[in-house]
Amino acid sequence: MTDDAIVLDDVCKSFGAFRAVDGVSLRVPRGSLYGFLGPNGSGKTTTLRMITNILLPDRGRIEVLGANSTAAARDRVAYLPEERGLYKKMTVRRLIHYYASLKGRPRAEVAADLDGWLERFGLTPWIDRKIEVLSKGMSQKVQFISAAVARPELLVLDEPFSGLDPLAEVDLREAILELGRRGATIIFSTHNMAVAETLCDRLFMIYRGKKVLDGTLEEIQSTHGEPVVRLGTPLGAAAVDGLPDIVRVSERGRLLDVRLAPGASPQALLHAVAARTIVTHFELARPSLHDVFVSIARPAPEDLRNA
Amino acid sequence: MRKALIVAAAELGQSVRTKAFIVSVLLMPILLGGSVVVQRFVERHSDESERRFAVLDHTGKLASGLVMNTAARNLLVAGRAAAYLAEVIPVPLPGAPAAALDELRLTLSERIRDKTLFAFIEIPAATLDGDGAVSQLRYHSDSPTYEDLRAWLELSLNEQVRLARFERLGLDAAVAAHVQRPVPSAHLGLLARSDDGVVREAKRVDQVRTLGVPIIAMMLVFMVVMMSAPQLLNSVLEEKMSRISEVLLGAVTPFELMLGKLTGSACVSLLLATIYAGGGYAAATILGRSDAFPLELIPWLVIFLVVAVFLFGSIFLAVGAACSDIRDAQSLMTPVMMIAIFPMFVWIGVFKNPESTFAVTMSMIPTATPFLMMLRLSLHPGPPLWQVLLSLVLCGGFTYLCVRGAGKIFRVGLLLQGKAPSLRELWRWARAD
Repeated sequence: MTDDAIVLDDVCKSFGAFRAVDGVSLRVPRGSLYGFLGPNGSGKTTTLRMITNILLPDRGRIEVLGANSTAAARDRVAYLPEERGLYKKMTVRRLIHYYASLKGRPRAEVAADLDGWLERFGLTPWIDRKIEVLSKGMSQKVQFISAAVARPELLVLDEPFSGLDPLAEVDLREAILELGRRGATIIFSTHNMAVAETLCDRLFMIYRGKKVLDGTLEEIQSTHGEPVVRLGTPLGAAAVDGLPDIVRVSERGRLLDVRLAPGASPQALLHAVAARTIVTHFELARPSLHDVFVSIARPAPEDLRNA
Repeated sequence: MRKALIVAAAELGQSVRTKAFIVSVLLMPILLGGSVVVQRFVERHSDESERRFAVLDHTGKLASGLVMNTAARNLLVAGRAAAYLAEVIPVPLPGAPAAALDELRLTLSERIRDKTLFAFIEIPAATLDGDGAVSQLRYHSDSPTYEDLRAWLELSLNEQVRLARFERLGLDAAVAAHVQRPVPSAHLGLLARSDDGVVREAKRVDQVRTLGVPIIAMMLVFMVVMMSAPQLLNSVLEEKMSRISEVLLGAVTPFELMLGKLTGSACVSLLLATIYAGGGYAAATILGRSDAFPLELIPWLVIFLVVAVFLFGSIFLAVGAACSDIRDAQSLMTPVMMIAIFPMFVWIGVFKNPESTFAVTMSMIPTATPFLMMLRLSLHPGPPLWQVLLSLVLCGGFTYLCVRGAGKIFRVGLLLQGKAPSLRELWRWARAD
């Protein structure tokens, strides 16, 4: 048995003339929590749909949970689409049993799991209520439970945190981590960089159908972008005005992020600023995931001109 | 296949749990039964106002008899139909200027416009001579759709004219009535020899069994199919719009999903048919006419019902999967509905002459087979077995093609959003490998 839950090998998918996924290769280790990043329309959902066998690739190989055909692993994979994907007229109990039965789970086992998950989310009183009366957060939790009771080896979530209030987001994060602790491999797409940074073991970014990032947060931070010098002074941006080897200065509240030219010394900058004013904060910071995301996904000037 | 059955069970459960299903099951017989009651009520009570008519009798011999007949009729139909009131108007004497008669006709017309009179009838002088066009009765009214009074006047006056002519010819009225008495005919079936060698007398044709049952059987298939198959479109459209189909496709193949939905819909149809046919049988038993209930047709009913649901259901599913909102779906539904209701335009021809080339041809058209072959099977003596089997093969083959093509459209369309495809695009999807 391979150690990878998912293997994508040069996978391509087009819709008419539009190439949504272009030669993507990826390995997702078993038991990992993998974040899929990318701007809207970059190919995240298409990649997730191919992994869950909803779409078939035009080219390339996909291996899921050791099975060459993703269809073979279907019952061991659970997928939650971005929108809720729930029958409004069904009760919570019927819906969850229906989805679990499609995954081949015995009714009695599902019933036992269901009670635990409902209690955890505080949804026990809602078990025989119709989905249409639930709030968005509750529906999202029900959707998660419907996947969790199938005891998937691989859980695929498309934008699971979109539109959730902070409390519901915390509940869902805890539940995802719980499934991860039980051994499930989890991949999810998100626009929320803070969530991705704190939740994921590894990150994958797709842009215009191509893989542009893949690795741990540390790997990505160390390979993408020069470190910045974070400075705190009473003068603000005037403290670095006119100093050499400075590429860009951006204000970050009471602090300044100063990007230096390659090879320039942060020590020299500290001396120069200290000669002008009091330095209250000095830090060599790594670029945040948000900065990396923006630097990759920001349209190039020629794209804007051609738009 | 196991997953298709789970989908089918869910589909059936979802359909029968809705208020709409319960209401429609109860409502349909109430509507049908209610419409008969309402029709009877309207027939009896819509014609309660008096109808006053004037008589211009140029023969001078018929008006008094008409007045008497009118009184007799009113006694006979009292409380069930409108009373007629006859008003005899003196006509200008022969030789009077023609303008005087026209003035009289105009006056009566004005009275009709003023609603003080309903109609007037003019009996020409030559009526008793019986000379074709000249003796035509002239009935004037401002209510062209109300035929009852005209028909009754014509009947009543003709009876009097006949008696008057007999009298003129010196014939005894009783003898004339005897001569004219019609000979009724009895509609019988065929004679047959029983096992003990005795020739059994032919039975009288049962109007309920021979006329009512075939129409009911065909309409039952049509009604049940039209109640359940279009629901598939709504179901798949809802699943597509709320992204449920993505969850389902993560667990089942598109073909399993479609097969499950079609099977569920076929079960809904069979359930509806069982409810209605069972209700019909119970009603027939209560009325002592359980013999009119064609139990031997039940297997055919089941076969044609299932085939029709798969045929039309697969098309509705494909349309639902291809569209992203109900308006797009409705525009694509129109040609499908035209095909579905086509048998309703031609069934009368099949019913009147079920062995004709027209009837055989129509019942072999796959989209019409479930309805028209069901009709022919219910009509005595029924089509030859080879025709039934051939129609089933043709319809089954066509259904297979529809399910296959719809499956491909379903697979492509289910995840597509935005503009609905054209019929040409659908055709291309259906043919793609």
